[in-house]
Amino acid sequence: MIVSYPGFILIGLLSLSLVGCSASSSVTEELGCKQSALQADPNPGAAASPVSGSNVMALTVNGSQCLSMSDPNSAVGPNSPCASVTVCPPGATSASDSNCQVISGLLVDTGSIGLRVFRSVIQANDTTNGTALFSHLTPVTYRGSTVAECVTYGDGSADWGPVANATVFMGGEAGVATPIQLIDAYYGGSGTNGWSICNSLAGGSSSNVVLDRCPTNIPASAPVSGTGLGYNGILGLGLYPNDSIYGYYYSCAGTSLSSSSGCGSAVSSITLSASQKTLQNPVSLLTDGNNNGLVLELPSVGNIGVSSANGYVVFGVSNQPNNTPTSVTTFPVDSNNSDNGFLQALVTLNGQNLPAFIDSGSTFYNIPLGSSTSGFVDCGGFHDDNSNGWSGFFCPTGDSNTFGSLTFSFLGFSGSHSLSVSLTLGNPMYFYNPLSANVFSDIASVESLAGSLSGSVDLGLPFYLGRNIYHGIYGSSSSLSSGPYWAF
Amino acid sequence: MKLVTSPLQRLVLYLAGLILNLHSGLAHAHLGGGIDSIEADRKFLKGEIAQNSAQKKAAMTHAQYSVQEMVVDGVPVREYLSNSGVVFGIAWAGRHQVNFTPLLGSYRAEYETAFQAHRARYPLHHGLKSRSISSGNIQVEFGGHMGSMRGHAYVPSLMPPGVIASDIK
Repeated sequence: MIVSYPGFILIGLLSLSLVGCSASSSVTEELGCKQSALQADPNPGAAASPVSGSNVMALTVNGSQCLSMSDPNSAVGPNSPCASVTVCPPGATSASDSNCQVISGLLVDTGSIGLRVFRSVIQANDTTNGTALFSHLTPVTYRGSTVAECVTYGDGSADWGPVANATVFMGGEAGVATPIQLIDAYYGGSGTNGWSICNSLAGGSSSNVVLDRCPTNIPASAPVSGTGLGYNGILGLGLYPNDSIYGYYYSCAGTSLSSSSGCGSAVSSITLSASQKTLQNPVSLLTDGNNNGLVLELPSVGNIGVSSANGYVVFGVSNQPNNTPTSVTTFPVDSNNSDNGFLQALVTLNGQNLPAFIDSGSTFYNIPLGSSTSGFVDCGGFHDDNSNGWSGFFCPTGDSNTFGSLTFSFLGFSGSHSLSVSLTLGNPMYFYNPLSANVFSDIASVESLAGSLSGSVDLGLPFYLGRNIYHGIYGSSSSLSSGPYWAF
Repeated sequence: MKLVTSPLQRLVLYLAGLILNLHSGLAHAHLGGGIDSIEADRKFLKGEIAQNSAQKKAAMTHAQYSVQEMVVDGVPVREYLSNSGVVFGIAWAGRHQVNFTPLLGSYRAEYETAFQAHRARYPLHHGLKSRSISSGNIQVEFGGHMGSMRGHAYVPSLMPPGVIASDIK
């Protein structure tokens, strides 16, 4: 059902009845798989200024590159930046080679590294299209055995699955040969190996934390449930050339990518060649100078949001006319991968220094709420209970349909770079309505670690709306700076 | 000059002047247990530690407690031991999450029930960056992002006088 919040502003007219819609009282639940289609006349979309070139990849936030809202099994949540790539068997020289498969609905994530595709969306034997990508992918091996990876996320979830050799085509670029992860919660089966190892590493609980694309993809007998993401995978394009900095790799007693037989009982932790066998940032592998970073360009969306926003990922920084900024401030990022603040910058908020990072894969801003964020309170304080679902989000002081400003100085990790940034944040219960808009620039959730553990300022997808943000990859350089850096 | 130090660095700086002695080889313990408690857990984590060639151990002492540190899969894990010999808190910070549930000892089942309830209310998805989970006897908080994960768990009723949650980091 749709919860009508007090004072809820319904933008647009509903064109179909909403029987069975699972749009729920909690925004977090919106991010799961919906059980029926949402249909409404949406707010108009927004689009960035056109960019063209072989180094350009289309990017849509809740637009044509995302899984359809009308797909009952995979509707994507708000603020989802999506793109499509073509995945081919290793050695392919063209995206139109046989057995290549276009994978759409990938989350474009500047906060992680490497391409991860749910095993369930890779065609095993598609007679209609004549493609059978899965059977033409080859496992990355370690001393003759298959390799699997576990990646842990901050919320206590994790993904698990084998690592395969593939050739990946992005935009109009030539293909890059890179290991990719096939997210497969059942690789190795149950018991004391495979996903169960990843399950415990996630730290969340003894069960039910390994991700899959959607609950309906999960066998009824499987010990995993309710973890749908609304994506076909994750395209990690962050500031590092590979994911050796955070991925857990394992060798399995097995030789295939098959869920049932690829990862036997002997699973051991291994350290792989970071530059060869771990997941690579596909941008780092591009040729003709586009391997030093990227620009992410998305339009502004206003205070009440838009149905979708169209933009671009432009590969390379300052090596071509379409990726050369006219005026930006460049912020160095912590490049010491032996400390805990890796790939972070710094903001000053009311005199308090906090670590900060920019991450397109974060749905909203996520900011510590406290003395340094005067003018805002937790939305949950306005209601007797939390049934409205907005507990844990920023609301301007006073229960009203107003917007407040949160101003801070964005600093580089080192040096004298500083830029005053002002975020406009509103009370989402007055404007959040997934029937009319899915892209919002003015929603912030509360960083829950800030009470007794140091919290970071997460400048998520909203920060990209209306900004062209330049990303410089560790180990490379451009006329702006040596990577890693952000510039905007 | 670095403008900010990591949590680990801050901890080291904070405790540097308070170290009364430094020795290695302290037995592993878990929440609510003593320093020599639960051989099974010790063996379990010893196996984890053995996989990491860069492991290190350090022991630090505070007026109200001492701290053991070990490295599990590259992530420093600290255990807070009261002067009366009870582990009241654990904390970790590193580039990925760690398997901390074995360190919760007898509070593990209680925590996992609370985690499931928390997850039911805030379902798993890629956007949530952290969780703060309370149950009757134990508080667990963890979260972060790629390359920077942290968390801690503590039992308020076991904390020595004057020690607060933010000390456990």
